[in-house]
Amino acid sequence: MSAILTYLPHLLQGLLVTLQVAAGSFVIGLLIAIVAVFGWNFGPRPLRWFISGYVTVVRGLPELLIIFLVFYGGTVLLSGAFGTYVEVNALTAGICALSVVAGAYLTEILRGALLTVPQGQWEAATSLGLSRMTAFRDVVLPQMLAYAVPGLGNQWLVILKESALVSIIGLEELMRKGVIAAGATHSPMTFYLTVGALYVAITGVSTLIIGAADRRAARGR
Amino acid sequence: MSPDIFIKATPIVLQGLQLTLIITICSFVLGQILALPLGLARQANSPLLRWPAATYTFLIRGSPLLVQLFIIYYGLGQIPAVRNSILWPILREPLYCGIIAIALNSAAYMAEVVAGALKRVPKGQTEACISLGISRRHRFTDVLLPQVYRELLPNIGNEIILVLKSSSLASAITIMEITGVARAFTARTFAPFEVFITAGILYLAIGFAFTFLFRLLERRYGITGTRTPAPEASA
Amino acid sequence: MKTLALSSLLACLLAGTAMADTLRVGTSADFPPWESVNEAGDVIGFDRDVIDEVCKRIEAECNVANQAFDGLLPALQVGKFDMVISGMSITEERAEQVDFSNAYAEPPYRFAVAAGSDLAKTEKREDLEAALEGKVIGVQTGSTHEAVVRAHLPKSEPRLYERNEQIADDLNAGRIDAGLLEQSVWEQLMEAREGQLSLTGPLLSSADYAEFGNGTAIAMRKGSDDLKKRVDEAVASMLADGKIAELSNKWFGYDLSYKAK
Repeated sequence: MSAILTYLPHLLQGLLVTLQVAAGSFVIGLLIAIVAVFGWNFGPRPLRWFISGYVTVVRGLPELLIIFLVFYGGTVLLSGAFGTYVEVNALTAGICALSVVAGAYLTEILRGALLTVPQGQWEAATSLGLSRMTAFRDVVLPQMLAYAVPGLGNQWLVILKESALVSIIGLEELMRKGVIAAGATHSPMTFYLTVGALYVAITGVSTLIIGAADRRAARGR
Repeated sequence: MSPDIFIKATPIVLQGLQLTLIITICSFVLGQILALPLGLARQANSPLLRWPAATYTFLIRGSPLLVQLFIIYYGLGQIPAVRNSILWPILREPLYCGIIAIALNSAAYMAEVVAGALKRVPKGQTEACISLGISRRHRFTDVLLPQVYRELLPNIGNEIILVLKSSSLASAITIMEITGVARAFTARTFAPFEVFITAGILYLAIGFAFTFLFRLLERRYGITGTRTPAPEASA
Repeated sequence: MKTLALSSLLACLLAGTAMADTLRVGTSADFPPWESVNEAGDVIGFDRDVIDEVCKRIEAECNVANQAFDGLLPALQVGKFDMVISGMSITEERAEQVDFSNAYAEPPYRFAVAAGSDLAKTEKREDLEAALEGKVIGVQTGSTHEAVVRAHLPKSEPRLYERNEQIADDLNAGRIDAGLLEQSVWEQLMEAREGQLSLTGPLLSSADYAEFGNGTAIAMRKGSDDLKKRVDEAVASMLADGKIAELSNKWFGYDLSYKAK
């Protein structure tokens, strides 16, 4: 018990890094997905092929492999490309890899949500003289996001849990802090259970917030 | 990137193929078997069944698979009582620990999906069966289960892909499946790109094969027009 | 105006030459007593003292930076560092990528088993090799120990771990039969696990298994011949006047300075 108290500040520090990784990946992933959905609807055919290729390939690969590829491969590739050392540290690699993964799943979620926005909304917006770009940004996108709240919330939970994989490339987030504490105190069970409980706590709180957000979003649709 | 290393990497990455397939198939089957009683318990009338099942799925779905894997492998291994128990011959082996952890994880996600499908079965069916004099057992095995599983075929096909991806985590507990051998090879050759890309292509090929297999099953047994939304990823 | 421009140009050039003698050193400070980070955040350890002395003898200023072991050699190759010192053994694969100084140390390696294991009382290397046939041996991924097991114990199964303490815990749990690590690493692990493990067989070196590499050395970018010459001279003088032995005794409690073969 005293071992937990000694290491709790470290674990909480790790928890902050976990939240950073998850939030960073979620936001970047969402931006990727919005661009992808826009491209899917308005882009030329090769772009649509590219987007559906991206979604299919990423969804078929283990997240851990993508993290390894970005972390180990990224440094070699970028340094070669720029001719000078470009550091891809564990935090950057983790956020990049998880953003790419989240982007693929979020594209699917947004594509589904877009279908539920009534066609009439497009027609109404364009007949009012809005350009397709403006109609998308001001009329369709907000509604699409409101419909997507449960899916987005779910993806947030997935990213929170996936972020534990970044510990394997050495980033000192919650999981890694737990592994270090387990090694130092020689009591792995205590620390892995504590780490597990902390994850359950943040996913539990997230679930409550998502539920509230969904009820709020439901008012507008 | 050099083509030589791609050629060199292929046989090495293939060394992990067998273990990846073993873990994926065993965890998937075990997970499906466990998911049915769990799903039924989630939908049961008795709170004595409902609450433990709900707690189980909440805890498993609320924490990362990697943590669960470490609890089962490194955590249990350090408890003398576990080492002296009859379960030790199983828990001693990293492969079995990996299969058990991934199966328990997959079962929790799948149980929610099964519970959802059970909920959607119209209440009138029970009454119809009773009035036709069909026994409780046959109502379950011949009426309820076939409906539920035919409806869930797309979800089950999706789940095996998620389990395949989860199997890569087994490398964290010393199992040399595809990701494990790829990483070990990288540490020796400093050629990460070629090796991980080769591994990625292999995963896509296995995933494609599983998807193809389930498409066939769906065409043969599936119910058209009742595709349920995909379950969340079990990472 | 012209003189000003010229003199500032000259100043820049001079600053440039002065800069050249500030060397950037990379290490992975997670391997005590070789190198670790103290509470103040400074890199300390045997390697730290060695590189400080080397820099003193080649009259250069050195900045030591800490990063993950995996990335040290790539960072060296692309110019982030000028030298890497991180308890790194000279191996053929690494020597294809970078240049190594003369070896400054050669740590002893050792097998360990769970206390009370049948293998615990083996004395001769040949007996231990025979006894390890068909057994599972824990090693760290990508280490020279992994290469040793693959080359010399082909009938044993190497099991690859990320962290040393996981090898110790799985030995204690009975999941693996033996582990192969550096002697100093075992000593640290056994301190925290009283009575659980026991060392077995003789101290091992590259004389027993060539795969351990030709000693521990400082890595430099290929083509930095001038720097290599100066570092080699410094290492040779430190071996000759007993400085390495002194530092080794300070950090390890025994002498692991490199003995020319």
